[in-house]
Amino acid sequence: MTDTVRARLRWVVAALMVGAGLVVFRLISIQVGPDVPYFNNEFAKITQRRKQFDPPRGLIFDRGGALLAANDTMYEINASPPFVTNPAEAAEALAEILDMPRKEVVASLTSGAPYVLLRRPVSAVVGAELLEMKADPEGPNLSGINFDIIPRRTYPGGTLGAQVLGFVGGDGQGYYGVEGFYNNMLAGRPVVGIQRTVPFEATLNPNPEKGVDLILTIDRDIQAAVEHALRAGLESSGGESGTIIVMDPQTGEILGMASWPTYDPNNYINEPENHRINPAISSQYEPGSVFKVLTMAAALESGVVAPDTVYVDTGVISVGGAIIRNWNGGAWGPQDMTGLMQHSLNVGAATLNLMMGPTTFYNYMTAFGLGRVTNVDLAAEAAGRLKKPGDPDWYESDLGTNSFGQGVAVTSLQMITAISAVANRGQMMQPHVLLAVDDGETVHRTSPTVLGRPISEETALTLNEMLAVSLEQEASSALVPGYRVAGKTGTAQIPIPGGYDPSATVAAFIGWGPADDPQFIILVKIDKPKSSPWGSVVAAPIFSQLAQRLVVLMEIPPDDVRHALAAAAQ
Amino acid sequence: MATGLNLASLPGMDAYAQIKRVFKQAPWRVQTQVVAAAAVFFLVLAALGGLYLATATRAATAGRDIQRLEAEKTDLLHELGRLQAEVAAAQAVARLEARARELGYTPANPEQVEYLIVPGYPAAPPAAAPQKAAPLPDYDETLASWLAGRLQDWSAAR
Repeated sequence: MTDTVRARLRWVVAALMVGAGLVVFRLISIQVGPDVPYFNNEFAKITQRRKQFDPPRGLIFDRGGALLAANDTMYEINASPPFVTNPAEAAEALAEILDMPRKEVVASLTSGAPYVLLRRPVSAVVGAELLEMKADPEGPNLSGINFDIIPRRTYPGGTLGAQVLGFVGGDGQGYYGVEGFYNNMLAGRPVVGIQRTVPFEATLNPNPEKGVDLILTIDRDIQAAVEHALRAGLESSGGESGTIIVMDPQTGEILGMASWPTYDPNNYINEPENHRINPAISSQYEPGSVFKVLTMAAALESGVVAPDTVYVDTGVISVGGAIIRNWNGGAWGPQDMTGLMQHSLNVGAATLNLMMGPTTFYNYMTAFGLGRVTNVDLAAEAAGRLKKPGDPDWYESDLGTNSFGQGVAVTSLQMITAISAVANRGQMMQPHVLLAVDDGETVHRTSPTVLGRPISEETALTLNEMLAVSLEQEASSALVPGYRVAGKTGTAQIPIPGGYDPSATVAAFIGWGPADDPQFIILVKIDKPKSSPWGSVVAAPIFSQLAQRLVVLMEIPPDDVRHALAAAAQ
Repeated sequence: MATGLNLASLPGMDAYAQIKRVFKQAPWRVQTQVVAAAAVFFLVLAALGGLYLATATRAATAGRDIQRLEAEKTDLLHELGRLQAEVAAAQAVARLEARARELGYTPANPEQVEYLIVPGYPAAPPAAAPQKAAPLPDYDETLASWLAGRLQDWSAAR
C-alpha cells in the first residue's frame, strides 16, 4: 500500500467517522435534545388516539320482563384502498355479498383515496359473514377492507308501544317517549380515553358507566290489545285518528297507551314527523261531555246539589249571553243528577255551574289538574288550557260552555287522570310509565304518588254509583257482561277558526271497572268518526270490547265470582 | 518480549512491594485487566439487554393479549345485544299471536275463563289506595326546650 492510498484511506475513515458522529449526535439530540416534544408528538399521533368509549344503552322492558327496546349491531363496510392488495379478488367477494355491481366495487378499491365507504348500514348477519370470510386463510383476500360496528337501537315489537317508547336518533340521543324523557339514565356516561396501538403501552379500556335498564308499567299484552282495539274501532267507525289509554286508577300506572296514526321506531327516519309525537300527552282537544263528570263532582263536593236534587230542564239556558242547548235540542223536563249524567244534558251542566259560580267551579277544575301538565314521565307533554276569570280571553259565557267541556283544552292523559279521582275514592294518582330501575346491582321500584285529592271519598263513591247506574239505565253499549262498570260518553265539537266544524266530532268514552273496586280505567277517543258522530255509538263499544279483553289479561273474575271469593276468604 | 522480573534489580524495596510493583508494571497483566474489565462490562451490558428484551417481549405479549381480549369483549357485548334483540323479536307479540292462530288458538273471552273457589284459600286482599304522606310538624324545638325534655325524662326514669 502506497502512502497516497494510505492517506486517502485516512480521509475516507475520517469522513465516515464524522458522518457516524453526526448520526450519533442526531440520535442523541432526538432522545434528549430540544426536538423531544416534537418527536413525542409525532409518535403519539401514530400510536395513540383519543376515543370516546360509549357504554351500551340501557334496555327497556315491560312490566312482565319482555324486552321492548334492545341494542342491536350493524356494520359499516369501508375500505382503505392503499392497503387493498388484491382489489379484483376482494371486489368479487364483496360485490356478491353486498349486492353491488362488481365494476363499482373495483373502482372504489382502486381509487387511491385513503377511505372509501362501500355500504352502510349492513345487517349483523352479513357483517358476521364478511368477518368470517376475512379470517378464513383459504378465503378471498380482504386486506384493506374494514368492518366498523355501528350500535343501533332496535324495537323488537315494531310499532308496539312506539309512541310510549320514542326512538333513538342517529346521534345516539333519545327522542320522545321514554327514550327522550329518560335519555340521560339510559345513555349512561361515556368516557373519553386514550387508545394505544403499541402493544407495549396497551392498557385496559376505561369502563364507562353503563346506562340503567328501565322496567315500565306497560304490559305488552295489554298494549297489544289496546292497539288492536284502536285499529278495529277506527276501521269500523271510519275515524281519522284516535287514542286509547289504560291506567290503573289506584296507582297511576299506565298499562297501555296507543294512538293512531303511529310509526315504526326501527324506521323512524322514513316516517312523517307528526307521527312520532304521542297525541295522548301532546295533542290538545276540547273534551266535550266526558267533562261533565268533573262538573258534577265539583257540584256534589261543594254541596250545591245532591244525587236526588231535581232541576227542570227546559232545553235552553243563557249564560253570559250565550244560548246553551242540549245535544238534541230538546227539553228533558224534571231530571235528577243521575238523569243529567245519563242523558248528558248540557243545560243541566250549565245550571250546575251557575249554582256553583265561577270561583268554586274553577277552583275545583284547578284541583283536578286542568291547565297544567301532569308531569307524566314521557317527553313532550302539553299543558292544556283552562281559561279563568281574570284572563283577558275569559268571558262569562265560558262558565256555561266549560261545564260540558267546550272552551277547555285538555290532553287525553289529563282527562283520564282527572276522572280517575272518581274511580279511586277521590284521590288522583300521579300517572307514570316507570315501574322500576335496574342499575345492574339493585332494582329500585317506584312507589305510587298521590297527585291530589280534588274531591272527598264520599263524593267519589256517590258519583261512581251514579255513573254506573246511568250506564245500566241507558243500556249502554259500554256495559261488560258479568262486570259492573261506570263511565261517561262524550261527543265534542272540533273548534275551527270562527266557530266549530259542523261536520266532524270527537267521540269519546271514559270508563272504569269493576265499579266497586276499579282495577282499570280506560279512555277511548276517536277523532272525526264517519259511521256516527256520537261517543255512545262509536267509543262506548270499543270500551266494552277492550274491557272484556282486559278482565282476561288482568285475571279479574266476574263480580259474582269475586264477591264469592271475598266471602269465602272471610 | 521482556518481562523484567528481576527482583534483585530493585534494591531498597521489600519483597511484597517489589512483587506488587512488578505485577503492576507487567504489560500483559495490564492488558489482561483491560480485557477482563471490558468483558465484564459487555457481559453485564448483554445481560441487561437480554433482561430488557425478555421483559419487553413479555410486556408486548401482555399488551397484545390486552388488545385482543378487549376486542373480544367488545365483540361479545355486541353479540350479546344482537342475540337479545333476536330472541325478543322471536317472542314479539305479533309473531306469537300469529303462531297461536296458526295452531288454532283464539283469544279467550271472559265467559270461557273458569274461576274456581277453593274453600279456605285466602283471596288476595283488596288493594289499599296509598295515602298521602302526612306533613311533618314544624320543627320549633330550642336547645332549652330539648334540655328541659331530657331532664324530665331523666327525672321520670329515676
